[in-house]
Order: sequence, then C-alpha cells, then structure tokens
Amino acid sequence: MTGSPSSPGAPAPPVSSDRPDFPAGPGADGPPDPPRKAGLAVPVGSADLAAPVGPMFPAGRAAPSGPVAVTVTVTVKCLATLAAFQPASGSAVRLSGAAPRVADLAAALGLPAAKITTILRNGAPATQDTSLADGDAVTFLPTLSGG
Amino acid sequence: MDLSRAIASRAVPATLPDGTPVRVLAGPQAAALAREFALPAREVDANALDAGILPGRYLRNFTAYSPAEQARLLRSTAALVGLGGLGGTVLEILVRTGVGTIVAADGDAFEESNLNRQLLAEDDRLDRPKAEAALARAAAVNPTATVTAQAAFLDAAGMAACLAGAQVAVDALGGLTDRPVLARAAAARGIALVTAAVAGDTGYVATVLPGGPALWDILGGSADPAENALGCQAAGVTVAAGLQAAEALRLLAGRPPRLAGKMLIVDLSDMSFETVTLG
Repeated sequence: MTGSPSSPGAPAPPVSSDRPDFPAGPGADGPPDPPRKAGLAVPVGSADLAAPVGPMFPAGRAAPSGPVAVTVTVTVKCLATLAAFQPASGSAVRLSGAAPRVADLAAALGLPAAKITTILRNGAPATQDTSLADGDAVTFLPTLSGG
Repeated sequence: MDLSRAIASRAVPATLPDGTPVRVLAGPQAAALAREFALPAREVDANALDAGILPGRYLRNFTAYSPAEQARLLRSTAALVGLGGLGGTVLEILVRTGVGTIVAADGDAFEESNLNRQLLAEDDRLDRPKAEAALARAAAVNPTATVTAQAAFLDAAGMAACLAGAQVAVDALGGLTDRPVLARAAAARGIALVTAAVAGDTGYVATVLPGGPALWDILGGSADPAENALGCQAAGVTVAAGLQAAEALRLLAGRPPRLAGKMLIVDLSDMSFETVTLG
C-alpha cells in the first residue's frame, strides 16, 4: 500500500518473535523524492494564478505530440507534522501533466517522500504512484504512535 | 429466598426522565445481596438486568444499552494494554459503562510530562506505577467491576495471557514496537483489536478483526513519529480514547463494530473526521 513488502492478503507473520519485523514506511525504502516540477502545479488562489487561466496550448503554439496534458484540481490535507506543507492558500491544488500522480502532488507541495507514512486518496490507501483525477481528495500522514 | 426473588423484593419503582416506568436496584441493595449470596456485586446486577430490573449505577445507560446488552457488558472481559493517555481514559469509560472484568497492564510509572493529558496521572502519583493508579481509580469509580492491572511491559507471551479470557483487546500502547505484537496476539486469540494513536491534534482509531486488512501496512514505521515533535495533548488523546472505548463497548455488547477494516482519522486542528476503508 505504501511500498511495504507485505500485502493485505499475505499471511500473518509468525507470533514467535518478540520484536516484529515492522514494515518500514516509504520513507525508509521508498523511491527518492521526485524532482519538483516548478510551474507544473500551483495551489489554487496563489499569486501564480492571479492572471486568468489561458488555454493550455495558445494559438500559434503546437501541442506536444506525446500524451495530452490534463489539468486536475485536487484537495489536499497534510496532517500532524506535515501541516507545514499545507498550501497557504487552502486545500485546493491544481496539477498539470500527462497523468498527474500523488508523487506530483507531493512534489508540488515540497513534501519529501521520506516524511510521508500514509497516503489516502478518496478515503482509501494510495501510493506515490496513484493517479489523480479532478476532484480527488488526498491526505498525507506521518507516523503517529503516541498514546 | 432465591436470588431473583431477593432482587425483585429489593427493587423499587422509578420513572426515567422521559416518563418510562422502571424498577431499580440501588447499589447498596446489590451489595447486600452480593454478601448474602456470596456473589460478585456485578453478577447480582447482571441477574437484576436479566429480570428487567436496572441497577441504579447504570440507570442512565438505559436505553443506550438494553437490559440484555448491559448484562452482557457486565459478564464481558476487556483486555487493555497500556494505561497512559489512551488507556487511562478507556479504563474510565469501560468501568463507568459497566464492563464487568478488565485485565490491564502497563509497566510504566508516571512522569511529570504525563500530567498534561493522562487521566490517571496525578501530581502526587509521580514515579508511582500506572497500574497502581488504574486499580485505585477503577475501585473508586466502580467497585463492582473486577479490574486487574499488571505493572509490567508485556512480551508476546504476556499479551497472550492478558487476552486469554477477553472478548476484545484494546491497544492503548505508545510507540510502534509492541503494537504489531499485540495485534498478532489478538488474531491468535480470535478477537478484535481496537487500536488508536495520537500526535498533537491528530489521531486515528481502527478495529482489526482476525484475518482483516493489515493496518500496519499503511501505518508503519518511521523511527521519528510525529508525537516526538508535536507531543500529545489532553483533548486529542481523550477524543481518540473515547472513540476507542465506544468501539470496544459495541463489540462487548454484541454489536457489530463500526471500524472493522477501517480507520477513522481525527484532526482537531480543523475538527475533521475522515473514515478510510482499508484493504
């Protein structure tokens, strides 16, 4: 779900060990942080969006021949220690690209993968590779274990 | 005179605030019958409920729990591992609501930094065992409950023993090391585990049924959990403990859990609740 080796259907580990091989989160062994794609994603309502949004491919400029870029607006919630990465403008973030993924959203927020333990999209577990569609709601959580 | 007749003879008519007529067995009457019949007072209360007579102690649980459900709670056993911020409040709620037997454990002693949130932490109990405070609090609130509190950090075998007679396991541990061990003990025992954790304004509560989705796959294991930076505060930990206790009580009363295979995330910074479906 977040890159750990086990899956929900996997058999439970044996009970013999006092010290479980607790699955490491994506921060421990996940992929390196994707490069931040400046200009690809901006929080809605930021200064970058003060100007009206123009057509994606203005007249006189040929569209690229690869996959067609799409623009999606998602809402994001960065909880606990990740709250510092919540967009100052609120919760809506606009992403553009051929196939926006959670990793693109995290990069747009400047949120390093190593800080994220749990990713949720629309109330279900997700990963950095999960594709995002317009209107999706994404929640990022660090490890919580206080009692 | 047999017990049911003795209970009936000592019950008195009363009227609930909504006008419902009931018969009530007051605590001193139940205690007298417990002595007379050499029974635990909670068993006298359970017998009263079997006859539709409400123990005064649980009068305001009616109609949240039917008499049969309240009797079931009194005859149930909860295992509670951890008696800190979560566990102290879970214990308080289970004892007040009428869970008959609670088997608890925590090897820790109170530190000054516990005072900001842990219900069992009191200024004159610093350096004293949390298990000792749990016993004292439970006895003060509801002496008819049977509560044991072991002053020990349980290993896998200790957890198995703690869970042996329980119908639900409550994970009120701090940190990550022992939580999966407890989850495996609950699965091996074939009972539900109700778990929770908090950091700052944020917390979650989840119910893991034997064979259910592996919660730890998505929650596991930073070496630097958020509470190291954010601490834990009374409001957040009490909310999480309240939700945890409500779910444990559902299970003990024989109702279906609401968070099986799910996780409820609470964030008090924006007063939001989000339920996540796992697996």
